[in-house]
Order: sequence, then structure tokens, then C-alpha cells
Amino acid sequence: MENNQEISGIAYLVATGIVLILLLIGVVIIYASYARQRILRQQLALKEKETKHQEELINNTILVLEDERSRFAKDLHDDIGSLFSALRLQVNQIDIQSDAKVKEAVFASSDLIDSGMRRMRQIAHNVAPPDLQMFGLPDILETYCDKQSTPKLELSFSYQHPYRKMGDIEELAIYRITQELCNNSTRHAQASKIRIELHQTPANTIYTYSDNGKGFDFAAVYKNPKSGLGLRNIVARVHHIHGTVNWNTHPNAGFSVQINLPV
Amino acid sequence: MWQKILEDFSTYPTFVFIFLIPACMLGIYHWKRLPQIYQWFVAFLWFDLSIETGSRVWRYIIDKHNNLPLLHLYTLGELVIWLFIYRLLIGAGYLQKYFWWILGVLSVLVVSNTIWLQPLHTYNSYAKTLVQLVIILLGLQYEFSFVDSDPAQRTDKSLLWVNRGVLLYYAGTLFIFMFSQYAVATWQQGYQQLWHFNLILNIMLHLNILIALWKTTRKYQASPT
Repeated sequence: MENNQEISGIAYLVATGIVLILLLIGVVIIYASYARQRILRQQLALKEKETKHQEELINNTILVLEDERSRFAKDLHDDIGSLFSALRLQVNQIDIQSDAKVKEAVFASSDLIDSGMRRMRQIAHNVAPPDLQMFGLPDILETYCDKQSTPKLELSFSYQHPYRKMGDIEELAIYRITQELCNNSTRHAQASKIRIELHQTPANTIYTYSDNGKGFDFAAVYKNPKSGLGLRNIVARVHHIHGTVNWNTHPNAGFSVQINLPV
Repeated sequence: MWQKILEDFSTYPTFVFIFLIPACMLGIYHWKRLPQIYQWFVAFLWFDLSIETGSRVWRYIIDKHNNLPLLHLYTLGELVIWLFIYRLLIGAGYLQKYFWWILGVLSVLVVSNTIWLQPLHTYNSYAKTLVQLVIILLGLQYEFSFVDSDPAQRTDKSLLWVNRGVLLYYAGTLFIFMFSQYAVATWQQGYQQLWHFNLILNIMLHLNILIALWKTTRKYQASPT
């Protein structure tokens, strides 16, 4: 009888001990999980705040940069342009009947001045941000393609009607990316055909750029601190507007890139 | 005799082998590619497998009625292995600083218990309880150190789940081993039920280690060298 009481006492003690300690461990694990989740949420919130701040900084930098470009283009057009105009007037007033050599020099100078003015207007136009609000990205890209096309380089642009306007920052980024890509295609890839497409779905805007140039080893160029700068700038711009970018290029196999921008 | 050993292996307390043997094999197969912490887990598994197997063989070769000397050996072995594991898990701190002192003092206590208090053929409940308490405290410390650690370092959640398995096993069996010496004299039949509970928790611990090992080996297979 006494032995049975002793046994039930031990059983009770052991069972209670097991239950209590397991409960305690359970509570500790749940508390630790909860604390971990809370810290994680706080860190995420902080990171989001930092990211937002960074984005604002980048936005402001881009705005300042575009303002500066606009001012530079205006100065170039107004100041240097008027100087060129005055110079041409002066040159035109030279009496070209007097001497054949003078006549030749005047014509040559006049040609140089015209060429300088054209080049200056081109630079001013490239540097100045396009008026996206007035014309919209499709018109701007169409005009850009027309202007850049030469007998040796065929640029084509197509887009899906009706075009759903994106934000100014997104459209400006696409325009600048197009400039960078065209520059690469003509300077490095020796492309003769460039194709630009703008396609929209309810959820995204898909920008596709391709050329028939000589292509390149993307990984090697991208990692190179000097040659990969333009590509890395494009990636930075795409990330800034929350897009994704897919590159497709190999040596002697042309080049294409697709940028996907969520609505 | 061998037939009896095989019969013993076929009883349900040997269910733990279902998880233990694959985990041991997996660990030894991927040994070289495993991070150091997982190599210690594999060491623990092989030690466990040796003791589990030895305890069954012991009964038929050395002593039919008592294989408790292996429990004394197991207690010392698990103390050493888990201390090394938590030294790696917890990293800097008092454990790192006084590691050899802690290991030395606790080992001396465990061995002293066997020599002077609870001899080889009895339950070593004092030493076992001490070792379990140490492992529980280290497990709790790791659980909380995981809270404060940098998120970038918290990529291996398998380790956390192994730690939870350790906490549940050692906490759940603390009282079973604590009263084992006393209960064996008075309540042997009823205490068998509690050993089954010990078995369930032991299986959970080994299952956690097996899953962690499996996930780690898959991760190392998937990533390029």
C-alpha cells in the first residue's frame, strides 16, 4: 500500500515535471520566435525607409542633372549659337570679288560655320531633356530614331496603340537608356540595323532594343570597370524605376535587351 | 545469441535506427563537403549509433541484465560533443573564453559521479541530469542569440530546428533520467512507459538532424563549386 503511494508520488512528480518543463521550453521558443519576427519587421521597416530615402536622393539627383543639362543646352544654343550667327554675318560681308584665294577661304569658313552650328544644335538637342509631357515617349523615340538614322544605320521604332503613359521619370530613363544603347551600337558594335519596340500589357510596359551588331561577351564587359560603365548605368537606371532587365548577347550574335517595367 | 540480438533490434524501441542509420550514412557520404558544425552532428550521430548498437549487443555478450556502463560512457560523450557543437553555434562569449575549463570541470564531475557516487552498473542520474541541464541552457542561449544575430547570418534555419529538437529532447527527458535511479528500484514496470516517451523525443531529435543534414547536402550539391 505504502509502496503504491510512493510510486504514484514519483509518477505524479515526473509527469508534472515533464509537462512543466516542456511548457516552459515551448513558451521560450514561441517568445524567441516572436521576438525574432518583431526584430525582423523593425529591420525591414528601417531598410524600406532607407531605400525610400535613397530613391528620393536618386530622384533629386536625376532632376538636378536634367535641369543642369537643360541649362547647358540653352546656354549652348543661345550664346554659342548667336556667336556663330554673328560670325557668319561677318564672314558673309567679306568682299569675295577681290581675290580668288579670299573667295575660297570665305566659302570654306562659311561651310565650317554651318557645320559647327549643326553640330552645336545636335549636341544641345541630345543634352537637353525631351519634352515628355508635351510629346510623350513614343513621339520622342520616333523623332530620335528619324534623326539618328543615316544611310549606313537604319533605326526603326514601333509601339502598341494606344500608348499608356508612364511617369516622367520612367519615360526619361527609357529615353536616356535608348541614347546609351544607340551610342554603343554605333560606336562599338558597328550595327547597321537597330530595332526599338514598346509593348504594353495590363501589368507591364516592355521595352525591347536589338541590333545586328557584332555582339559581345556580356559577363566580361559588364565586370570590366571601364567598358562596363554604360551597361551598369543602364542597370542602375532600370533598378531605380523598379524594372527588371534581361540581356541577350554573344560575340558575333547581335545584341538585344528587354526592360520590363511594372505598372 | 545472434537471433536474440536480431529480435531485440526488431522491437519498437529500435525505431530510432530508421532515422539514425540514414542520417549517419548521409553524413559520412558528404563528410568532406559539410560545414564543421554539421561534421559535429555527424560525429554525434555515429557516437549515438555506436552506443545504441553496443547496448543491444552488450546484453548478449557481456552482461545479460545490465548495460548501464554504456549510459555512463554515453553521458560523457554527449557532454563533450554538444559542448563542441554549441561552442561553434554560439561563437564568441563565455563559452568560447572558458571552453576548456567548462569541458574539463564538467567531465571531471561526470567521471567522479561514476567513480564515487553512482557506479557503472547503476543509473548515473546525477551526472545525466547535470549534462542535460547544461545542454538545455546552451540550447536556450543559442535560441536567444539567434534573435539578436544579424539577419544575413540567419540563413541556416536548419540549425535552429536542430536546436529546438535538442531542447525538446533534453527538457522532455530531464525528469525521466533524474528519477531513473530511484524509479528503477520501486516502479520499474510503470517507468517503462516513460522510456517510450523518451524514445519519441529521441526520434524527433534524430529526424530534425536528418532533415537538417539532408537540406545542407542538397544546398551544397545545388551550388556551384
